[in-house]
Amino acid sequence: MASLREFWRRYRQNPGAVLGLIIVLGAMAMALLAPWVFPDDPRRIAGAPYIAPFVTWQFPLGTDQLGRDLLAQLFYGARVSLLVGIVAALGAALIGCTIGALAGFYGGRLGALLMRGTEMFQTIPDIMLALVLVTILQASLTSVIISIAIVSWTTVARVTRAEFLKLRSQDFVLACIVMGMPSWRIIVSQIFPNVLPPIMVMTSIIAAGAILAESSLSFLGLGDPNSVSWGMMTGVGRSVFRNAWYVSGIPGLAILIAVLGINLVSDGLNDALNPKRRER
Amino acid sequence: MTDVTSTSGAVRKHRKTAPRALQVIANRLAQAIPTIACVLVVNFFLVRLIPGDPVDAFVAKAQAADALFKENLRHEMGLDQPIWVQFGIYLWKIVHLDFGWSFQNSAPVLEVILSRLWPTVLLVVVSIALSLVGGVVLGVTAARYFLTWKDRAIAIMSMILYAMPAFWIGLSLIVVFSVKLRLVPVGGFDTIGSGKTGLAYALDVARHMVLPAATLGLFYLAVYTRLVRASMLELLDSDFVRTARAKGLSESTVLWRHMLPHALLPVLTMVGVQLGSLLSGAIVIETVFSWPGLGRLTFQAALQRDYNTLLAILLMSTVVVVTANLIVDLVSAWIDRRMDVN
Amino acid sequence: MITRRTVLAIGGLSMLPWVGKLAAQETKKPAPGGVLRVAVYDDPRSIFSPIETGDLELTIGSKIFESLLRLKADNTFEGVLAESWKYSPDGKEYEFKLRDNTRFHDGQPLTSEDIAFSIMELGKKHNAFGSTLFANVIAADLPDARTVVFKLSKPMPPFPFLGTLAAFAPIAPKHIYGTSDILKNPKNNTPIGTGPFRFKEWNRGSSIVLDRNPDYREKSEPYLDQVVFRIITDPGARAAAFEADEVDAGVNSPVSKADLKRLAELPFIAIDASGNKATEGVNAIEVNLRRKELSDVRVRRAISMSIDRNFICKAVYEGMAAPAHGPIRSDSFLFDAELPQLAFNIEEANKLLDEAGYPKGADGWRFNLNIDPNGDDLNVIGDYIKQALAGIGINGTIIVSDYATHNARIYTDYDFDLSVQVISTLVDPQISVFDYYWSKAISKGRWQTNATDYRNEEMDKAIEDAESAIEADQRLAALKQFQKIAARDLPLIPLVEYESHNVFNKRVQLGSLGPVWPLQTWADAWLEK
Repeated sequence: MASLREFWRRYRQNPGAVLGLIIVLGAMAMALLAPWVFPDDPRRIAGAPYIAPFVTWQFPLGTDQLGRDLLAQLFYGARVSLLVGIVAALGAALIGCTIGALAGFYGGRLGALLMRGTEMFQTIPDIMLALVLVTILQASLTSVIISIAIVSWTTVARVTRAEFLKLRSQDFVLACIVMGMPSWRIIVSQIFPNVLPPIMVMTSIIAAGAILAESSLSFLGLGDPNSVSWGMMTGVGRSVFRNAWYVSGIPGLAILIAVLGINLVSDGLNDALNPKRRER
Repeated sequence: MTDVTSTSGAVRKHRKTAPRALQVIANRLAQAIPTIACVLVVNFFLVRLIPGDPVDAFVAKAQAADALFKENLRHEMGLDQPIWVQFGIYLWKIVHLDFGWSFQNSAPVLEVILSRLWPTVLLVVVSIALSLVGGVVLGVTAARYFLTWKDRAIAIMSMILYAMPAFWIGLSLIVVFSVKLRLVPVGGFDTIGSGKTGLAYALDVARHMVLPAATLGLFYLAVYTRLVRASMLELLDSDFVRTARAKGLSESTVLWRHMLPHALLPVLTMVGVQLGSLLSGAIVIETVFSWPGLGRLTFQAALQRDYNTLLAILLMSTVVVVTANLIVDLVSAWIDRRMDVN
Repeated sequence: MITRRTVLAIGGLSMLPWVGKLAAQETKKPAPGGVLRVAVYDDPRSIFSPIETGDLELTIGSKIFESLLRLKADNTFEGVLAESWKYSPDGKEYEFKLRDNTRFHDGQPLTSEDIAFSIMELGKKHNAFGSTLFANVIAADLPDARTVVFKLSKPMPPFPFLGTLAAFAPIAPKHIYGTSDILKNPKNNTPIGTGPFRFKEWNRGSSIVLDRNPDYREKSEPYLDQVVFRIITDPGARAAAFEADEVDAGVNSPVSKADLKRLAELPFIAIDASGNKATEGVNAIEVNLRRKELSDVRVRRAISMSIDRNFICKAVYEGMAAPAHGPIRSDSFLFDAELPQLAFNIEEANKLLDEAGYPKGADGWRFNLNIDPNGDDLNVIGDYIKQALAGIGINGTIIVSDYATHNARIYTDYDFDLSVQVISTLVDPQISVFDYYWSKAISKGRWQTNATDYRNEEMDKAIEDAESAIEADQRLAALKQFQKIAARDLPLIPLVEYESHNVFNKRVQLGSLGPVWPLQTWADAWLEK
């Protein structure tokens, strides 16, 4: 508890990190409140097409080419975009940690094999792999999330492995082995807590990257058309970019701010979890 | 999807005494062959898993075809054989460095890829080189002025650049610089039919490359800046930096001569990993700027289920990554040795 | 309010006043010289258009390979390679006499052998569309080097047959292509034809350059020194290229409707819609009648009634579209003017669904349907259809897939409920529309055909009558019958007639402007200095 308070004290000192946290919490609030603020289907045709932002109270951010409320879509888009970011990042972290931990803890042939596999994944271009996977699984939210997770886990695996390799030969681990503790318990209860900080930082970065990746996939026409996401809105609104900038501009801005927020948070985490840096 | 944290593991690993260069090459090659073999297998079956086949894609584009025509075409392309036979034929050809025929481009795959390779290499190399230089300068500056306003400004700038969707920057740049100011062309690789040669042609290409290179480069500038900064900070407390300071060397000598080479190692590692992705990963930017590169070819090949082209590009990017990693390892070893001598 | 048909009667070919600015240019005297820069959206598969059917391949290839004839604005034909033609009264023999002064780019003269080879060999065997187009052509007799007689297995009316030859049968030299593997002939990508332009170079991903053919049949033509096809993949970038004066022309709606509206306001941009009249089509929903709910015509009518077609015209096409009555466009001379508007009536639609035995469930939905839109504008329409269906208690799920997947889903696996598709007219409904309705065209794996499983003897008879009626009046009567049954049974639910535009810099002078301008040779096009 004390260490958590200590962590928060250090985190708080970084104004950027606090700003990031506010942004992320704001986006989460949008996502959670969406059904209460806008009880109707956000893709519903609600008014005239192409109402500019800040013109009428009915549609504060205006409407898109089909006359759908941009603000409502932005709220619902937060749900999908954050969901993609969080679930894809957690998925990537889970795969990456498992493989990295096994490779780092056991080393030897298994470790080498797992790392070869990781390397192999790294040689296939990210966006290509994601594209092929989404096409195979058919464009849907789930397939987008799975694809992004599958192309993002390799860095987590590498870092986890490096940390495990380092900690594996430390006294407290050796002591546990001597005591006869089962390997999985050593991995989960002894080593893993020490590896958590860099993984948390990396997971948050992957989350930011996932939101961007989803927008790229949407640009290429591979988003899920049944759920509004910021990436989808930006991608679809692109065709009217020159006439009605706000249709893709506003969700684009939302992506920018959210990704910025998440990165600020991860920087803050990084600094707060590595106290020694700060003391300089 | 890009890793921008400090790869602290890499820094540490490289600080060990370097093995001899030849040994590194031999080791890495021995490791590379099974990797490439696995990639071959995985790619082949991954690509076949995509719903629809080249004939479906072709008739969709060609507007009509009856079942008999499609059957004949499948036969002509060898798609009517059992998948294992197809795989065997594919392997046999690859071993003989025959990448096959691209039905969707009605030309040999190798010819098609070679015609698209140069623009991509040019774009990628120029963008990476520029962003690497910029990233080093900004990253070192940020580390030097750690936690001051300079550091914060650089951090915020790089984060904003990192967070912007590429097609958004691209389209905005076109509107401002090509349509409104008419400073540079809207897109393309060169002025078609200009008949320029030599330096005039190089300048023409450079003019066309300004916007795509800027769009791609700005993103990587952000990535490299953060990475350089992070790895510089990692090094601030290390023994050799303390020693250097204790010797009374100036701060800039310590930063640029002693720390930077070490800080560059993870950056180089990352460039090595990214190269393969970049070859076909600049899809969005190439689309926005009509850049005749491999990214668009890859995307088209995927849409058209052009198996041969797609597999050849994927294989190529694997080979590029493996080679790039090898070069990075050699360079790292070389830097390490120089450091140890110091 | 002026209805669409009165506008047409006034003489404008388009729905917007600024379209058709090019009308008054024919009086100017052509000036030789200059490079025409044309924006295209992708690399073609090959430039050897005789075995291609894609619009891109045909557009580029038609400058190099000529056809026997050309379709004119008044829906009559003009000879290109053919000097004259005639057909037997039973519609089973078509004879063409060739001009005597046509030479290929390699200097060899054109003979009737080349015509027969191009149709019987390239067209029938190697062209994806050809086996359908030329299914009835069973032989080509060559009485002499300048005459070719096509023998048909069953009668075919002159308009669809000549139209097919005009648009989809480029003529290639037998002495070059007749001797080798046609798909892999190295000359496919450095083609040799008779056209006003010769192939110069293809920079993949970047451009295709054609040079003036100095030995062209018409001595003063072509006027242009070069035609350059510039590949610009992104529609936004294409619009920007027009604005920055980096391209002179683009065909078949090169930019989005929103951008088109903006471009139209620029003083140096002209927009034409008449040059695509023969190849425009109708957007429609293919309904899978294999689904129990959808096999009930009341359900199909209800779906049709839930759709506000005027909204689609306004929101998706920026006003450059009109509600469709049926599979044949209302600006076609084959259109049945008595056909009523398809109603928009949500109340009535709900009533029909109740009657059909599909009441709303506790969750407010009657049943679920998948919607498969086929890309671009159609995806936006799909979005709208989902909303429209929600209005009558049908829960729609949109399935977006790329062309190859979509194609396999709809025409091979029949794994769809509603598919949003373009029904292109391609000169005559006989070429590309009937097969959507004809029960004998149901053929698993064949594209652009009856995937709905609609089988109706009355309909089959109307189609077969129209296909073999040589007399124009008789044919029109059968076509009207076809349109009436189509509107009654709704196996395809027609949505809107969209307008397809060609965009030009005003310095471009189009020469003779037929309804398939992109596929003309452009020998008489020129650039104003």
